[in-house]
Amino acid sequence: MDLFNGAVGTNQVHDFNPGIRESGLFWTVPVPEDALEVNFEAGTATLSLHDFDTEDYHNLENALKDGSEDDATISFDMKWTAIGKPFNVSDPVHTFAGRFSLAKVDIAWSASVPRTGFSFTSDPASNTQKKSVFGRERNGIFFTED
Amino acid sequence: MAFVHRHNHFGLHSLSRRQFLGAAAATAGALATGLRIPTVFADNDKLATVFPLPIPGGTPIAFPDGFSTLVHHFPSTANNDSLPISEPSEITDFNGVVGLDRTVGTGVDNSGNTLHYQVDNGFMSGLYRGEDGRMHHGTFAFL
Repeated sequence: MDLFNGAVGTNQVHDFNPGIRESGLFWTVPVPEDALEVNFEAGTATLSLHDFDTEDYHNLENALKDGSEDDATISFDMKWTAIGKPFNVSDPVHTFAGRFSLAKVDIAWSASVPRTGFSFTSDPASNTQKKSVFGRERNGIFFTED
Repeated sequence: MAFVHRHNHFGLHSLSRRQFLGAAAATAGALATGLRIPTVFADNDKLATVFPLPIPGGTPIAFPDGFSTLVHHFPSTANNDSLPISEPSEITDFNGVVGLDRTVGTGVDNSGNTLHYQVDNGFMSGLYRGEDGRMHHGTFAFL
């Protein structure tokens, strides 16, 4: 979750992420199962975290170098809503397959950095979605071509 | 058949990486003795205690100062080959439900300044092979 003092991609001032695992696992952390609700019948998925501890690495390059960071918290509510028909994908190059739907996503989020007193609240009305997807996936040892 | 993965409530307690690592250490003994492999979509509120492994592929990133690296992630906006999407999962040896999103917008900080944002968030929930080589069930957020 990145903040820019200017257009996205320029003059980044905050980069909220949980860090990179030694294995290379990228910005991925366990969350309580009740943070997630997926209802394929309704074509929706929701992911919500409140006051979740993370780090502010300030900018992407510093984050990828595991540079200095500040403790931070983030909160967000996201809802994926399927648009169009689901489709199957099978990719033997990247060894993943699944059935997915493109989706519209609604998101509202906020962040705070206690050390500096910084806080931010998004304006959901300003959202411009670039691309979203959700569905079922199997990969790696579970991959089989359709 | 429609699949419904439903939970009853929201409003979560936070869990830091440090807390997670502590919990993982505390449960290492139990894991070493071998727990049952949970069903892919078991409905429980347990927290995963073993990290999954990253997808092998990803996106190379280079900076003007010469620093470059490969991140094990494909943005939702990217397509590989002729496929309509790139792999949305961050974790490999995984069988479950997944979602990924990129949204941009604006908001206001506590000083009243308007800032622009980009959010790349996602989720993965299901069966996975952990760093310990064993199979586990867990729910993860990509943040």
